[in-house]
Amino acid sequence: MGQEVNNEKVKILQGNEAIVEAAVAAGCRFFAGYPITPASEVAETMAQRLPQVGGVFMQMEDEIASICATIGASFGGLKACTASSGPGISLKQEGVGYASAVEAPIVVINVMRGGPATGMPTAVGQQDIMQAKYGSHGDYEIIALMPSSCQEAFDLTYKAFELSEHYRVPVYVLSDEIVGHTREKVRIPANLSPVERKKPAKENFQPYKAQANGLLDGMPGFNEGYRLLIDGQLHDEQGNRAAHLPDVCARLTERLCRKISDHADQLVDIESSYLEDAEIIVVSFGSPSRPSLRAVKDARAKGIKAGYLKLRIIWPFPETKLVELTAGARTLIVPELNIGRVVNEVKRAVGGQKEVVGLSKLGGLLHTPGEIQAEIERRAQACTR
Amino acid sequence: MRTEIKLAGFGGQGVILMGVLLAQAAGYHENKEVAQTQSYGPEARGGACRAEVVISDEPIDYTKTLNPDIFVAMSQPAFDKYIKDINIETADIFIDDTLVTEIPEGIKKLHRVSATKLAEEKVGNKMVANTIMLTALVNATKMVSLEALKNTIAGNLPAKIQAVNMKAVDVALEYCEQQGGKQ
Repeated sequence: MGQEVNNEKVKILQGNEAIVEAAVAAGCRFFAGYPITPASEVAETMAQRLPQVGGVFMQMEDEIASICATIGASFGGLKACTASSGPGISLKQEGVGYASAVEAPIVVINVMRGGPATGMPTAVGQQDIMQAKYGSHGDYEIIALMPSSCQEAFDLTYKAFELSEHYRVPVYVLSDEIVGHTREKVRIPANLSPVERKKPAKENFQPYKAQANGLLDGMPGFNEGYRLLIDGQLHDEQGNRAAHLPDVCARLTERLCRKISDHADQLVDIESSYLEDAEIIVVSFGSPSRPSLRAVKDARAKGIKAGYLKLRIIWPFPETKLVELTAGARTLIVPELNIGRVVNEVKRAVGGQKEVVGLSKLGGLLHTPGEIQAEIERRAQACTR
Repeated sequence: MRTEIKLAGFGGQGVILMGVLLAQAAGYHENKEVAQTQSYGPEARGGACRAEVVISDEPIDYTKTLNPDIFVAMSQPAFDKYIKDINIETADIFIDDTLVTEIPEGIKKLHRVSATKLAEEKVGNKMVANTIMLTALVNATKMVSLEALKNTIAGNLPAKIQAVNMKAVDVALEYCEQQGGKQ
């Protein structure tokens, strides 16, 4: 079911279904996973869609096996992805670190629910934002994107595959229960042409020889004529174990981090409105972006100079751009569905130069526009006093 | 223009499906922007269950209902739980009066639809109570055309339950005609 309008297909999809459509459009041909609320529709829809395009769906025995199979499939030559939520994402952390170390391009979908532990399986949360960056042991960096609508679930998942291929890094799509289970119109462009994997030259091939920018050039596959040793131990440029060589290990660890942090400026994805004369800016990401925009519009209607920011890439944290965009503001409000995590990143970024207020909401419910608007009004009054 | 609909009942009644069908009818056939959300418990059947639909001519910022224009209650617990958040002066309130029997005074626009009773007695399958309610809702509010509703049912439901649902549409329309004016 769907409509064709101006070279795009318009479908009413759940966020979880939009993720699958985007993955397929981006060239994903392998999924390994294990069902879990509220991410199950990702696996369910993958099981329908992948065989239609010659891809492989594997229902795995557990979460660790799922992410390990995804890493294997990636080196087997396919764009690959796995999906889970809450406890499942915790179990996958070993694999996230492994994929980071072996520089496997994979996409990890986390449809966040309320936690900790088994938590609130059918309710929303954003309590895994720090886990996405720090969940596995050791020093490494990942990229994480946060959709706030079904359209963004499509757009950002598509982008996640492109980024994971380019940076050869695990990329998280940090969706949530609300986005996952909301149905909205999704506009799917008809002629998407996802980047094909670039294959490295076979002459003098060294699997972990980076370019000057810290990135590996292309992605080799098993059974393609490359001599490949893929191992979780830190390695030299040939892929040989090097845990006994401090300089080699230090260099690799630093490169694994800096290949992302050095490119942070290119990894900025922020949407904004009403910023021009804004004195109070709501810095939002994921589901709370929707009531935030509404609250800012309603505050504007009452004559308050409110502004709106939506961070679509949360890791690496866009601190330079955030400081630039909020330069004229007096107060930043950060609504999030956790105890207050990203608010500290914002505080760190602005370095005490302005008031930064957290608006934390727990319990599996989304902020209402009224709650955010009330905070905007409180801060507006505080300013005029 | 933004229209907000809240539908509530218990798991297994097809409450979320009602929301999905309404969103699709408005989105595909009436060219509206739509957002359909839901809330449900860990149980598959019997637990509280709620669907919300926002239909708008413009892009939708907030996807949940704030002040529903339409409230549909398919069970007494659902009615009791949500009625306090509904403006009984202005909202169109639809109840399945087979299952919702205790109704406070003062509701201005109350629509009684014996959905479960009609489903059992006239269609012979209580599973179609949701289709009967949805048809009565569309018939009364005209928020989408009947044609759009029928096309959406045809496009969504598996072949083996199409006929029984189309019959439910007819039963509902006949009921509404008989009731006409009595509400």
